[in-house]
Amino acid sequence: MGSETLDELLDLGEQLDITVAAACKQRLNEALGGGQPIELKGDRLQRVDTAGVQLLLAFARAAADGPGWGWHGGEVPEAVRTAAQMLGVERELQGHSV
Amino acid sequence: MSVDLSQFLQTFFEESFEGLDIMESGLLELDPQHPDTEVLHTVFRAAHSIKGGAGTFGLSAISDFTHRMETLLDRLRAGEQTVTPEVVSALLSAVDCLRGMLEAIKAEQELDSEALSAAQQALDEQLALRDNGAKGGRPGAEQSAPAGSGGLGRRGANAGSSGSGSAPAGAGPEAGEGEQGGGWHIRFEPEAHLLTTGNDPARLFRALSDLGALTVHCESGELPAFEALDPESCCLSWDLELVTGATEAAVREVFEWVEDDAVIEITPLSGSAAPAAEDHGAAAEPAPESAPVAASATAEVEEGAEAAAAAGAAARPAATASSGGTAAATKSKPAKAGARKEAAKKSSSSIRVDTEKIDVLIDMVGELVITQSMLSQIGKEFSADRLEELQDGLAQLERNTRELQESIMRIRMVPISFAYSRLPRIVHDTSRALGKEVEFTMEGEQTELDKTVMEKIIDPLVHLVRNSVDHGIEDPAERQAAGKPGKGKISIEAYHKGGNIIIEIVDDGRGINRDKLLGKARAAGLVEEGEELSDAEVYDLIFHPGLSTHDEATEYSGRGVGMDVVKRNIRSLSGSLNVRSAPGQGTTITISLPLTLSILDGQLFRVGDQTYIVPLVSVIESLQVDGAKVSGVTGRGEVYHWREAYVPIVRLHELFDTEPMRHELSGGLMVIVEDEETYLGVFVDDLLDQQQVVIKSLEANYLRVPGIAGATILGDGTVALILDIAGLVEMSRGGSRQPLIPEREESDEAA
Repeated sequence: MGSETLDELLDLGEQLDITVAAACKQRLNEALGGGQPIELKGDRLQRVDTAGVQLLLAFARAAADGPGWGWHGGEVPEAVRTAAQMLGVERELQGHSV
Repeated sequence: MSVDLSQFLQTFFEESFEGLDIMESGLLELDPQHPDTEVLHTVFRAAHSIKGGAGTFGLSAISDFTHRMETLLDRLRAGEQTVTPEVVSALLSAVDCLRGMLEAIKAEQELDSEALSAAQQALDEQLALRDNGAKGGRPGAEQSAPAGSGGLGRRGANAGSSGSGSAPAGAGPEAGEGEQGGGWHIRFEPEAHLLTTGNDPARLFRALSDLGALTVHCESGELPAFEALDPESCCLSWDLELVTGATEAAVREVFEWVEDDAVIEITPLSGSAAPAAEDHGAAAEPAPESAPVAASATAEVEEGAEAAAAAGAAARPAATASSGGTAAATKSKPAKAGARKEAAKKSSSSIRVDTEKIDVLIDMVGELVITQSMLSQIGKEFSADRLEELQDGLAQLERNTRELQESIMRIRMVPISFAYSRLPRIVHDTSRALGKEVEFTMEGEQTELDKTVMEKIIDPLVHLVRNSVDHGIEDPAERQAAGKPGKGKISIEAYHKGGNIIIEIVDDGRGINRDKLLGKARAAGLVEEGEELSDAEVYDLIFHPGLSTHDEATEYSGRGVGMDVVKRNIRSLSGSLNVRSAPGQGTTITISLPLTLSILDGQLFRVGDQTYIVPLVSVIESLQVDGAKVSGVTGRGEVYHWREAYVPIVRLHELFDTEPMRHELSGGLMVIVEDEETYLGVFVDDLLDQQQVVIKSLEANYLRVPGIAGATILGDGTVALILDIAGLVEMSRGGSRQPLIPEREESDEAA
C-alpha cells in the first residue's frame, strides 16, 4: 500500500516508544505490504521502550514469514539491543541479512 | 586491641550519601562558561571525604574510583582542564555509579561491575583529554557518558547500555563478602493497559538488575500477529530470576508503581524454581528467550539455594499470619503487608536529628521532672486547702506533656530538601534529552515534614516535575513563537499552611487545553455530553487513568501518564492535589499533605458500646437516613440513593460482630465516606466529636484486622478503632472499587 518509497529502507528516527508506536506501526505495516525485504535504520535511536520492542518483535515475526528484514549496516542498534536484552527478546531482534 | 570499625559504617554511609548529594547539586550548578571555583572546591571536598572514609574502612573499590574523580576535579579547580558539559556529564555518571556502589555495599550486594567500568571509562576519557593537550569537549567524548544523555530512567540507568568494548576493570566486587547469594523468582504479567500508565517493564527490570544478577525469560506467545497488534497494549509477560541478597520487600518496591496493573508473584529462588520456568516455557508457542542480564546468574542459584530457602521460610509465616484473617483479602496483599513490615524494620535504621531539637527535649523533660516532684509532694501532704495548688500542678503537667509531645513529633520532622535533592538531576537529564531549556528553582528547602511522608512523596514529586519538563514546557522554538523566552521556568516551593505542608510545582509552559481535555473525557465516556464541569473538575481529569493517552497532536499529551498513580500515592498519605492552569501561561500543581502520619483529624461515632473513628478527610457528609431512599440490590446488600448515585450501606455491627443500639435504618444516622472516589454509607448509632487522635498500630500491638487501620486511646482511657475506608469498601463489596451508578430510571429526586 506504500504510496511512496520502494527501496524499503525504513528510518526509525530518534525514538521508538509508546508515544510513536502507533505511527511507527503504520509505517512498518506499509513496508510489509510492499513485499520487498525491509531494512530498518536505527542508528539515531535514543529512546526505546517496551512498546517499541514489542512492536519490533511482532514486526520481526511478520517480516520473517514474509519479505524478510534486517538492520541497516547489519548491527542491532545500541538502544534496541539494550532494551531488548533487558526484556529478554534480544535473539529475535537480531535481524537477518536482506 | 583492634577497634571494630563496622559500628561506624552506618555513619560513613550517611555522610557519603550526603556528600554525593552535595556533589550532584554542585555539578548541576556548574556553568561550563563561567565555572564557579568555590563550587568546584565544594565538590572536590565531598569526593575527598568519601575517598578518605572508604580508605579507612578498606573499601578499596570506592576509594580507587573516587580517586579518579578527585584527580579530575582537582584539575578542574586548578584550571588545568576546562569545564565542559562532557566533563560534567562524566562526573555526574560517576556520582551515580558511586551511589550505586555504596548502596550495594550497604545492602551487602555485589557491585555492578559493568556500570563501574563504564563510569571509569568515561572518567578516564576525560582525564586523557588533558594528557592529549585537548581543550574543550569533543563530539566523541559525549558518547562515553551514557547517563548524561539518555538518563530518563532512574539512577544507574547506564548499567544496561554500557560495557560494549570496555573490559571490566580490576576493581572487583569486594562488597559481596559475606553475601549469601539467595534470590527471587518473579512472575510478572502486566495488564494490557500497563504501558499507557507511563510504566515501562524495561525500566522496572533495569531497577531490578541494580539489585543483583537478573535473568529474563520473556513469554511472547500472546503477542498477536503484527496487523492485529495494538501497539499501546502490553501483550508480553515475563519470568524473572533475580540472584540477590535483597529482601522481598526491596524487590516488591521496584514494582510498587505497577502493582495494581499487573500480576506479580514473587517466590524465593530455590532448586524447585527451575520446573516453574519450564512450565511457562512449555505453554508458550514460540520458545521463550532467556537473557542473562548480568553474568553468572545460574551458577549462583546453586550456591545461594540455602539462603534463598531461609529467606523464603522467613517470608512465609508473615504471609500466612496476615492472610488468615479474611477471605476478602487479596492474594498479594497479605504478603505485601508482611514484606512492608519487614522493610519498615530494615529501613527505619536511623534518623539524623538537629542537636537543637534534642536540647529542647532535654529542657522539656527537666520541666516535667520538676512538675512531677511538685505533684508528688502535694500528694504526700495533701489537704483540702491545697486543692488549688494541685489543680495548678495538673494544669502544668498537661502543658508539659503537650509540649513534650510536640517536641518529640518534631524529631521525626526532616527538611524537605532531601526529597528535593533528586529533582535538579531529573530536570537536567529530561530537558537535555528532549532538547529543551529549563531554569529550575527550588524554594522552602528547610520546610519540615514527617520522615515517612517525605520518603513517600519523593516518587510523586519526581514524576510531576518530569511531567512538567516533558509536557508542560514547550520546545524553545515553540516558546519563542509564542513570544516567551526560549528557556522555560519550573519552580517548586514548599511551605507550611494551617497544619499542612503545601508543595507547589509551577511551570510557565503551554498549560492545559481545557477544551481538548474535556473533549477527550467526553469521548472516553467519563463525562456525559452536555454536562458542564468547573475548571477544577476538568483539570482533575488529568489524574484519571483512562486519559493517559499519547496523542502527540494533543497539546496535553501524556500529562495523564502515571498521574493516577501520583494521585493515589498522595491520597494514601491523606493528602490532596489541586491543578490550576492557564493556556499559554503554565500550570500549577498544588499538593497538600499532613505534617505527620501519626496524628489524624478524625470524626468519632458510636455503634453499640464501641467508638470508631474515620479520618476527617474521608468524610463527605453525615445525614439522617431517609427510609424511602434505601433499596436492596441482589448480591450487593443495601444501597442508599445519594447524589444521583447509589452508595452501598455498611452496618459496622455486622462486619465486626457487635450489638448495635439501633437496627432500623430509617431515621438513623449515616456517615458517607469516600476512598478514591468510591463512596460508602456507614450506618452509625450516634455521631460524636471531631478530634485529633494519635494513631497506634494495631498490627504491631495485636494483629492486622481487615477494615481497621489502627487504634487510638481516647481521653477516658478507652480504645477506639480507626476505620480503614479502603478495607471497608473491599469487605462490603467484594473488591469492586466503583460507585454504583444507576441505570437511568425514575430516580431523579434531589439529594
